[in-house]
Amino acid sequence: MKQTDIFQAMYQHATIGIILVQPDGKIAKANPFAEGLFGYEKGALDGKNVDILVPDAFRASHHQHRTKYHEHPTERVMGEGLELYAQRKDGSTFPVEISLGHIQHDGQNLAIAYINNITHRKQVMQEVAEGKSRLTSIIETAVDGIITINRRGIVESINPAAAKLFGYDPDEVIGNNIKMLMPEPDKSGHDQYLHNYQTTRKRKIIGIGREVTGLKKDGETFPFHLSVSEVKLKDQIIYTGILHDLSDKKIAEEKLRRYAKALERSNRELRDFAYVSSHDLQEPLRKIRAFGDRLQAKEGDKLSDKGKDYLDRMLNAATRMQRLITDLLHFSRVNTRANPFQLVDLKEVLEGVLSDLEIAIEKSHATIKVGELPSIEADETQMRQLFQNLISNAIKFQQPGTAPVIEISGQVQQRNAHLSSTPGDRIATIRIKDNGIGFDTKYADKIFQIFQRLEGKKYEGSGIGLAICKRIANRHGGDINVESTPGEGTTFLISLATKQLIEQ
Amino acid sequence: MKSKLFTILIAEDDEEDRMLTEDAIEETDLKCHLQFVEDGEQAMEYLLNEGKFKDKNKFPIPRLILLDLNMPKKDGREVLAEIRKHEALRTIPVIALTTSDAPEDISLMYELGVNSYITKPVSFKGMIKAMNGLKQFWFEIVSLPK
Repeated sequence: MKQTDIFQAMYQHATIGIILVQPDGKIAKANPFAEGLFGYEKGALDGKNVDILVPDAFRASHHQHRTKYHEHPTERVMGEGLELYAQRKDGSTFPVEISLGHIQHDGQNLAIAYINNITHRKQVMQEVAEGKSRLTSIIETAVDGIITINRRGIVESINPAAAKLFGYDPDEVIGNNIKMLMPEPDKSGHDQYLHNYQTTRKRKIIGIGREVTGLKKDGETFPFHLSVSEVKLKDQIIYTGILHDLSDKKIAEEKLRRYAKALERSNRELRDFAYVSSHDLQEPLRKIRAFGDRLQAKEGDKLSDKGKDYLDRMLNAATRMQRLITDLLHFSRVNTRANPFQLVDLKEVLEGVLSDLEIAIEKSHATIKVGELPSIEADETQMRQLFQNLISNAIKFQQPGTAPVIEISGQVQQRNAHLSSTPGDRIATIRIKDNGIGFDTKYADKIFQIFQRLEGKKYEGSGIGLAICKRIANRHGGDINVESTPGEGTTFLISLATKQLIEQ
Repeated sequence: MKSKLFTILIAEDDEEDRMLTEDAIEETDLKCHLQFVEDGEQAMEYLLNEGKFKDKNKFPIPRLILLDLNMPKKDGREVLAEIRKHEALRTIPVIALTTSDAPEDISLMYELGVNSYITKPVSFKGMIKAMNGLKQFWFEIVSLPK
């Protein structure tokens, strides 16, 4: 191939638009790529004014530029020019990059324009720029603090949230060692720590995160959670720290802790008071009864009938008081003598209780209908006590002339309106329904209070049973409610958490 | 004071309880001598014939000990532990008779080797019943080392 043929081929097949322009602005020659670029047929550009390739808006200024260029032609390489646009035959425009040269041909000064369509490149660059600004905006507006340091610990960037956290302007921190934000002993240890990490790769915080203490500009310290990640860039390593202020959380935690402690203390005092007082009250009472018994047994004959009656009444009152004290003790023991929670099959517990109550059930001709009952985490003894109290109540408060029918069933359901997932989320609801005498529901709250009784001496009891039931339900993360209609019956609804929190 | 009657040692700091225990035992018609001490230290002095209890005839080794738990100076738990460690005393039956029904007291006393544990009955009738039970079991049913 001859050299001219080679040049000809290079021109014909160039993947860049090449256009030769005469001083008068007419196109002397455009290569096929240029024709394609602008959407013209082969040869269609020859002789046309080059201005037709310039968008209408730029056409006037282009004319001036071109004239100037022909007066002082210089080389201009790609990428140095302005951001330019070109116009296709169909009127659409596209961004181009143009480099210029000039040659002498037939005594004419011809300008050569090499034209690249940079639509795609521009798009990519724009995406990159957008991505970068988006990332910057995210970092700048983040609620958590973000700080980057280089491998020597020098702060390269700090976002407004982090700067505010420490009470500095970003400029006061950038370029300084990150140690300025640390109290001792971290301050002194940090260089060594960075060095250790870089030599041993042993992680203490990088890639893990933990609670640390920060030092504010005003000298105050505060807790925050710091997670650090290592970022390997092309030519360096930087560490990015994300900081989450824990001050409020810590204060709230501390408040809660103190409150819980105070509550625990007052609870304990109350428990101790109930226990000690009932325990200590028993002593003198026991003696009142014992000496009363002695008096009755040994000296009773010597008393008048009236005297005997007084003594009887005194001893009866002492017996009742004894019962109250014993009940009070039992009540206080729901919490003081509690057993640990374990998985309990309530059906099994109920069967045990029913067998204990066999005599009472037979005597009252009661019918007991037992439905499904779940297994839950509970104090088995207290579950037994709960069923025992409620079922004996159902038997006790029967309608005269009607045999008791007692229905017991249970189901597990999701707790309504729960805010967060806690172990008590699922609750077991146990229903104990009877056809007994019932009561007016305006007393519904009263019956669960200690020593409150609705019925007189016709029915035995001191009014402790339901109070104990309520306490047991409460201890098991639940409660007890009642529905009743006088003359029709009563239904107790007991809710119990299926999983118990560990007690303090 | 010579007698072939058995001796029961009752360690009880409360005077009224001593009276009531004595009354209750009397009601059971148990023929025995009752010896009372008022705290744990006295109980040990009695058993070791020390101090005012030097006279072995007057203060013989008891056939049975009724031991209160909560007493001044030395409590019933300590007394029991010392008895069970003592060569000559370790076989004497010891019955805890106390107001405490705390599970930890009950299990500790059995661990220390108490023969039985009685929570003081709340009524005097109950007390007589308990003493009757003791009489029947410890003086009529069981055999003890001489």
